[in-house]
Order: sequence, then C-alpha cells, then structure tokens
Amino acid sequence: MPALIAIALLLGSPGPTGNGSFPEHWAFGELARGAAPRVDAESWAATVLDRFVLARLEEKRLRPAAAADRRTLLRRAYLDVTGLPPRPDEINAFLADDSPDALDKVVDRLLASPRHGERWARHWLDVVRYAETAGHVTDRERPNTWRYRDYVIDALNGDLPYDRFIVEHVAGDLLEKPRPGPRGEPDVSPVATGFLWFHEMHFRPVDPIAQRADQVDAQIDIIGKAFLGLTTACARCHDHKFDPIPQRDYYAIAGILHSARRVHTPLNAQTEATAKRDDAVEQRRARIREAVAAAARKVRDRRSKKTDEPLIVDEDSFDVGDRASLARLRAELARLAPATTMWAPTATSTAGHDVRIQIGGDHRRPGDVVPRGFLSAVGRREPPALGERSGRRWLAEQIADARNPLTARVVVNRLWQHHFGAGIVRSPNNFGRLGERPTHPLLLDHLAHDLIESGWSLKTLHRKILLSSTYRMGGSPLPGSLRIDPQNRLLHHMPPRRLEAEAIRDSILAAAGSLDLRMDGGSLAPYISPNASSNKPSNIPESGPLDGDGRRSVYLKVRRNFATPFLATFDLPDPSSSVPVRTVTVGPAQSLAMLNSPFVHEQARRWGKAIADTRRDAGPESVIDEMLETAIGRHATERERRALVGLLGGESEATTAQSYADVAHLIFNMSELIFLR
Amino acid sequence: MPDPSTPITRRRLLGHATESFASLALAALLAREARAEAAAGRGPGGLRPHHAPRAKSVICLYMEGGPSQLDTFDHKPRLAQDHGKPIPFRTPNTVFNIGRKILRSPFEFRRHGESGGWVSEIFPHVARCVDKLTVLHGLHHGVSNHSSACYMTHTGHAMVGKPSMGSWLTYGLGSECRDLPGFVVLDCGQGPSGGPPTWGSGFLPVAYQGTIFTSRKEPLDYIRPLETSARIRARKIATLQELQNDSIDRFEAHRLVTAQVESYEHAFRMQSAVPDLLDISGETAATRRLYGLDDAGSELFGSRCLLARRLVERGVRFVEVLSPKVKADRWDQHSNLEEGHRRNAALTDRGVAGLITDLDARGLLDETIVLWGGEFGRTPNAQGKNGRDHNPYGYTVWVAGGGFRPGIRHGKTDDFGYFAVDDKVHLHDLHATILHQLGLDHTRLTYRFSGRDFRLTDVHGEVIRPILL
Repeated sequence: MPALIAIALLLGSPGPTGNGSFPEHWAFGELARGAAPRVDAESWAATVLDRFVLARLEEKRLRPAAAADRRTLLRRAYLDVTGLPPRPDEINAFLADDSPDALDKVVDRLLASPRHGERWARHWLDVVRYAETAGHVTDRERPNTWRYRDYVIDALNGDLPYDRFIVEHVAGDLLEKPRPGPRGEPDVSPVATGFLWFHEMHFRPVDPIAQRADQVDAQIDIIGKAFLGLTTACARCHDHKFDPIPQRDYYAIAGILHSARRVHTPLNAQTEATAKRDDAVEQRRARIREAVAAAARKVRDRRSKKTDEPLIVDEDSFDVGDRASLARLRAELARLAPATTMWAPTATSTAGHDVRIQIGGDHRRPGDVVPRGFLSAVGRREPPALGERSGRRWLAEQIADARNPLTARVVVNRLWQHHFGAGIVRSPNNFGRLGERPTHPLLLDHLAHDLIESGWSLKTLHRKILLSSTYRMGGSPLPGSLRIDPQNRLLHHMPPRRLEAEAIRDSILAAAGSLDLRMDGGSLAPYISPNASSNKPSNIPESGPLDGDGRRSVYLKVRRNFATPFLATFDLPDPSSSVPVRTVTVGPAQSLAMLNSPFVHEQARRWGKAIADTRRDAGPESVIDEMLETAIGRHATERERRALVGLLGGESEATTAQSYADVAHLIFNMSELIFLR
Repeated sequence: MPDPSTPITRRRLLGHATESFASLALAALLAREARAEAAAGRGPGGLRPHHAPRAKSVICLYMEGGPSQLDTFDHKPRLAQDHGKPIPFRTPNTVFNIGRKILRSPFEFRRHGESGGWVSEIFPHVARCVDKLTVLHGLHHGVSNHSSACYMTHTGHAMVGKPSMGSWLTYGLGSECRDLPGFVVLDCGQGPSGGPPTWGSGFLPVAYQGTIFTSRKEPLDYIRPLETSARIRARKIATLQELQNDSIDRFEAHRLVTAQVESYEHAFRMQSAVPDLLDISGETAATRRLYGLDDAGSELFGSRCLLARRLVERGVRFVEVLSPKVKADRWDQHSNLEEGHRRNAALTDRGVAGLITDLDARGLLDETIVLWGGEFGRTPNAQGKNGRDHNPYGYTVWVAGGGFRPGIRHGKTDDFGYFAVDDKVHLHDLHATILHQLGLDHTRLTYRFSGRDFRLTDVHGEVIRPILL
C-alpha cells in the first residue's frame, strides 16, 4: 500500500480497533516506488531528492530560502560531516575554487576523512546508549568496551554496508565470513555484539531471574528502537497497545536472546609467547596505576589537613622520590614489547531454547512456551527449525532483510535528521502509531530504495543529501513562510542549530591549536571536578587531564556516574536510555562554563600565546580576522574588529599573549561558536 | 505575573557591584528583564500549576543507607519481649539472606509533645518537634538494593535514568528564584548510593537536573571568575556584550540564540547570588546555635540545613540535603546498630530540629515541605549479632509543613515492624501527594519520551488525603 494512502487511513482511526486487529500503519507498508514529482521551479531542484522537497513546498505555496553563502555552507558541511570547523586555508581554497564541482570535491574529501567516522559514530553511540561503566554504587569499569566505539568509527569510515553492520550487531560472533579489521584483526564482526550489554547492571540482585529477564528486555528494547524504530519492549507485559506486536512476538525474540552470553574474546590469535608478554605488560601497568594512586593519596592526605584543596592531584605535585620511581616503572614498561592481544566483549551462544510467556512481565507467572521467531508484522518467513541453534543469526538476517520496510526507512531518517536538525519522521526511535508521521513519506521511501540499491552504502546517501539544493538553503526563511509552516516541517529554510557538546569542545581545541588527532585505543579518563560527589571517596575515579590531552571528545571515557563536566553542561545525554534526538538547552550553566571553566581559560591562554609567538609582526586587525576565521569561519565585522582591538594594547610580550588570550576567550563566548547556520 | 523577588534581587546585585560582572551587565539586564517578566508565569516546561498550590518548596533530608524504623520512630515492644526468638512468619529474601532471630532495639522510646508521638532516645531534639511532624509508618516499595531503592525514592523507578522529583518539579513549576538553580543538592562529603544520576534529569532537559553544592569553600564549578584583574574583567564583559548584540542580529533574533545571550545575564546574577547565599555572617548567634553550629559534631549537617533554609527563602524550588559522612557506614548498620545509629543521629539531630524550628518561626514552614527518610528501613530480625538488613516492605518517613497535618501518625506495620499492614503508603503515593501540595496533578505532569508519556509516579500513585490539612 502506498504510504500516503496508509496515512490517510490512519487519520481516521486514532487507536487500535477493539477486536485487537490493527489497520495497516504506514511504517509496516512496503516501500513506495514513485517517480520524482513534477515541480514548477525546475531549476532549483539540482537533484531528484530536491524535487520531493520542492513538491511539498509548492503544495503549500511555499518557496525555498535563498542559498547560504559559501562561507556559511562550508562551515556547515565541515561541522556536519566531520564535527570540526574548516581551517582558514581550507576556507580560502574553497572560496578560490570557482569550478562547478567545488562543493563536490569538498564533500568527497570530508566523507573520506577519518574525522567523519569520529563525528557520526557519536550519533550512533547515543542511540545504543554507549557507556563504559556499569553505574550504581561503584560505577565499575567495563574493560575494553571502547573497542566497540572504534568498531563503529571504522565501520562508518570504511562505509561498511549497513545491512552487514546490522547483522554484525546482532550475530557478529556467528558469521561464516570473517571481516578483517584495520589493525590486523582477522575478524572484527563479533565486536559489534558488545552493544547487547550496554544497559545498566544491578548490584547484588535479590532476584537473579528477574535480573536476567531485565537484561533480555534491555536487548529487545535496543534492537527494536535502534534498527526497526519500534518500541518492541512495550510487549513484555501485554500485547503492544498501539502497534501490531503481540506479547508472543516479544517472547519469540526473548527465546533467541536468552542463549546469548557476554564473554571477553581475543580478536587476534594468541600464542604462548605473546600471552606471557601480555601478562608482564599488564602487571607493569597495574604497578604503575598503584604507584600513581599511592603517591596521589600521600599528597592528598597531607593537604587535606591544611586546606580545602580539590581531590585531584597532578603528578607535578608528587614527592620527588615518588616521581623518580614512577619514571623508573614507566621506562621498564617502555622496554617491554607492547601488549598484542586485543580483547573485546562479545556475544557467544549456549544451546538455544524457547521460553515461556511471562504473564504481566512477571517470571513467577509463566504462560505458554513460544517458539523462537521474529515480529509477525514484519517477518515474512516461518522461523526455521532451530533446534540447538540460538536463532540469533536468523534474527539478524530478518532485521537486515531489504524486504523489511522498517530497516531502511529508519536509517535513512537518522541520516536526514543529523543533516537537517530534524528527521523526516521526527520520532526516530518510534515509527509506530504513537510516533510522528513522516513529513515527506515519498522522499523517505525514495531514499530508502536508493540506499538498498547502492548496496546499503551510507556514504552514497550522505553525498546525495550534501549536494542537494535543499542542503544548501540559507537560514533565513522567506517572508510569510513561517506563518504557513511555523515549525519548518516542510523545510523552507535551513534552521540554525546548537552544536553538540563534542563539537563545541572539539572546536575550542581546534581553534586553540591543541587538537590531537590520534585515533582509537583505550578511552581517556574524564576530568573529575573537585566538586564531584560520591557515596565514598574511593568511588570517585582518578581524574583525567583537564584538556583530555587534546583528544577528540569521542575518545573520552563515558562514565555513567562521572560525565565529563564540560560536555554534560552542553546536554551530553545520559547513557541509561537510547537517545535518538538530543535535547538542546541554553542556560546559565553553559554561559558560566564558557566564562569560568578552567578548560576554556587554558585553551584561550594557549591560543593567545601561540598568536603572540607567531604573529608578532602582523597588524592587530588582521590577527583578529584570522582568529575569528579559525574559530567561526568568517572575518570580523567593523564593529567586532573595533571592539576586540580595544582589548589589545599590551606592551611586553607577556601582556600581548594575555590580551590575545582575552580575545580568544571572548571568541569562545560568541554565539557562532556554538550555533551553526 | 511579575516576580516579587525581582526588586530585592536588583538591590542585591547593586550591593555586589564592585565585585562581580553583574554590575556591568546591569543596564542590559534591567532593560531585558521587563521583557522576561511579561513572559513569566509559567514553568520552563511550559506548564502552570494544575490547582492552587499549598506549598512552594521542598526540602528533602535524605538519610542515605536506610535508617531503621524500629530504632527511631516505629516503637515495637514485641521486639524486646521476643528478643532472640525466631520471627514467626515467612520473610522475603534479603540482600544478605540473614537469620530469623529477632533483635530488640537498643534504644529507649518515649512519647513526646501533645501528640504523644514515639521517638527513640537518639533524637532528643527532633523529639521536641514531634507535634509538627506527620509520621508515615506504612511506607513500602519492595526494592532491596541501595542504588535501586535510591533511584526508586528519587525518581519513582528502580532503574537509573529517570528524572528526579526535583527535576520534575522544576520542569513543571520553574523556580521562584532566578539567580540560583531551581533544584539544589547539598552534599556533606557522602553522596547517595545511586551516584549523581540520583538527582539527574533523566530524559528531561539537563537544565532541570540538581546542582550539587559541596561543602568546599567553592561549592560548585564555574562560579568564580578566573580573571585576576577586575578592570580587565570589566573590559571583557563590555566587549562581549557588543559582540553579542551582533550575534542576535546575525541569527535574526533566533529563539535559541537570544536565549543564549540572555543566559549570560542570568549567569552574572548567579555569580553574585552564590557568594551572597553562602555568606551567613548576618545570621544571629541564636540561629547558629539552633542549627548546632556551635558543636563540632553537628556543625557540618547543621550548616547544610541552614543553607537549605536560605535557599527556600530565596524561592529555590527543591533542596535535597544529603546525610553527612561519618567514620563508619552511613545509616546502613548491617552490624553495630547501636553505635552506628547513635552516631548518625547525633550528627543530624540538631540540624533537623533546628531547620523545622527556624522555618516555623519565620513563617516558612507553611509553604515548605520538609521530608525526612532513607531509601528503605531495616529488618526486625538480626543480621549477625547486632545488625539489621534492608527492609523495603514497611518503614517510616516523616513530613513536616507544607499543608501536611501535623502531630499525627499514619499507617502501621505488623507487631514486629516488618511489613506495612494498615494505611500502606507506596512511594508513588508519597510522590503524588508532594506534587499535589505544590499544585500539580501527578497524572498530568508528563513528558513524552521513547514513545510514551512518562510520569514521576509511572502508572501508579494516589494522593494520601487523610494526612493533608
């Protein structure tokens, strides 16, 4: 059924019908395959995609906003695709390139950049509620969870076909065909299955059976939301009240997942010799960790008697003797060959078995045994005789099946959402009846078809979107547009948006010249504020460096109980639930962070000093232009230049560095640093 | 409706003119405030109270670890009579699966006040306030682990990640104080077992999460300007304001950008409001004594209680005071019940009593709900020789002020104090009742997330009418 007709049907029927049957809901219908619609303003529509957008605008007598200027467009594309602003030389190269495919070249370069995976992996980590600790009282670490983060970054950078990405997530440990990783791993597919255990864990459960049921529930929930846009877990206690998901379906999937266990798996072959060496390395590492903790404790104990100083002790303040012995330990470690075994948490299967329905979601009230299977509203094949096999591989294939209409729609929508600030369906995790209806149903299906036909290449889809006229629109709606479509649902302009916490922090590091683009590896300990609170001090982890060693934010460890304070202020989501759309707030806590956080001041100082060191002979006006261009992609206005030059005027080198630091600090506080046009 | 606290705020700002950014931002602030006031009258969640509120603020005195109802307010003579005998009914699994032997309370109980409420000897000061307390003996929720019960108590869900009660209230009602966060958590060096998510905003915007004030000299991050010279600071602020005017134009007065620029003014106000809040030099010696600040043992928690009063006085919506750090384990006496409970009580007794007495004397108790309790109570059967395990099936919390009926006891546990039996109160009911007193219908305070409307009370909760005035 074409999606539009399904929607029309829906409008007349707000709830499930009394006899338990469901009128067909658009999201469960086949992908519509319609020709690109006719439009009046042919010349505006550079791509097929644009015709779908324009047709909807023209229906309402709306016109698209004028195109953004080239500087704005470039900054938008850079931050959108890579999460980092363009450098002045990159801006100038683009401005100087008047060939018709200047933007194509930029887009291709950005999509090929490793920065792209780092940026877009974070969007996905929000959805799968990625965290590296277990939460509750002790917030215990879950070692090697970061391998999953690197897996996602690599998958996006390598344009891993999305259907394979799904299959690896659900059953990467059960595939015949290995997929070698970029670090010499013979097969990285199993790493994806780690995502099945990102949910919280209780401490000392009083009812372990209920806890196990909760774990499986968390897995059903995340698989449903992330890949299918369905709130499948609602059917744990009763048939889903709004979507065609009977309770039997829930327990059919539960049966498949019940046999999955979490194990630590070496990703590369381990010989006796390497195992021994790894042990030695690990022992040295542990000794260093202990030595650091002991030395810090010594300093802290001494200080706490006299002053109200923070808990964080950096190594500079260690006793001389402690510093020397630490240096010795580290030298020893450096002389050893590096550890070679790459461990990752992955799934494994025990013998498969069907499970019983739990009436009311209560394991003490068992109902019928349900054969393992998939959603009856989506699955087309009868489940095979699984016997001892878990059925996880089969489940993965059902989800990734191109004939399943939800899967492609859901991922197309996620890509659209991050490019335009809102999805075609504005409830990206819920395509069910309680979710939003698509604003452009035919466009959604058109792109879904395209995606499947491209072999599920996400980069091909990104490219299509980035080169559309729709993407190039400016941020000012034409007069009257907002009256007709105040929420911009039909996309008559490109709405300004607040950058995510990570892009803000990374932009600051980039402008200050502090950005360290090293990729992968164990996450960096987040900075812990001296005002951090915990049940007892020993549950407060050692703080990481204030500037996170200049690494991109995606590499900072995600601790449930101790989020990096600067990122948390800018709406970093809580990893306890899947967050497909981040909330955006603006408030005094953010302004205070920008004004007074030691991190921002330190970056301003570094930038100021670098400017004073290298640009001593340049005129202040041109230096200020350069600084603004570095941070926000444009030169200063006359008024801004005057205002900022007014801050300069130191005579000595030190005062010059300080005044430039003041300028840098104010640039960090400009709205354009955190808002994208 | 204009905010009555605004003129006072302006005077306070002027008082700090030399020290902070605030004076420099003042001109812009006064001009813009007129606009902000016109838009006031709603909580930031865009909601209004559903009915006339009876109370304005909540102070939650959170007793981390689970104080024993049997050794504080729920007097059970049977425990002394049957001491050492097995408990005569089936008991549920506990965290440590302890034995069945009954343990008597090591403390004397006495009736107090005109209402004759029972209070154990470890709370001599709170005992004098008993006529102001509404003591609920029938609390239950069935969640046995600290962290899960902690989330249950704060968020109405036994799992991490749902909004805390203070977040719901500030989302629903906003705060009457524009210079301070609307939801403040006062830490004494020992957070709750649920960690910071305990006062997290969950899926609500981060602006509604609790802000921790530690007991350090600088109690929260980012409040103190780092510029070393006031002159440079002043120049920077003036310059920033020029840049910001351009920003608003450049983004064509986009809602978020305008709000961001305005949030700087709010930030400047907070910078002066926090030192003003912490400066207790204006409090009389009598007041300090009342809170126990003259005693090394009770000073830490007492000073937090005094701060709680100063916060609600300024219109802050929700204040949570965490129980202080002591040598051994918080209120979690799996062993050495007598020693541990005595010590925890001694650290908090004067602060708690001082807070109630002081709020009452200032006429603030009527509009402030004070809530005292932990995440659960403790078992009547012994753990080891002299401890008690967790008991989420029947325990005691009390409420004071805010339109609750004072001097009464509501609900009952069985003769041994294990299970709530009469007038049982689930945490959802208590949450519903607190929201009710603040003018909110708990079934209508909702937030759409993940495909459904969430509430503090999930799909449960009933307002407990008999305990309200």
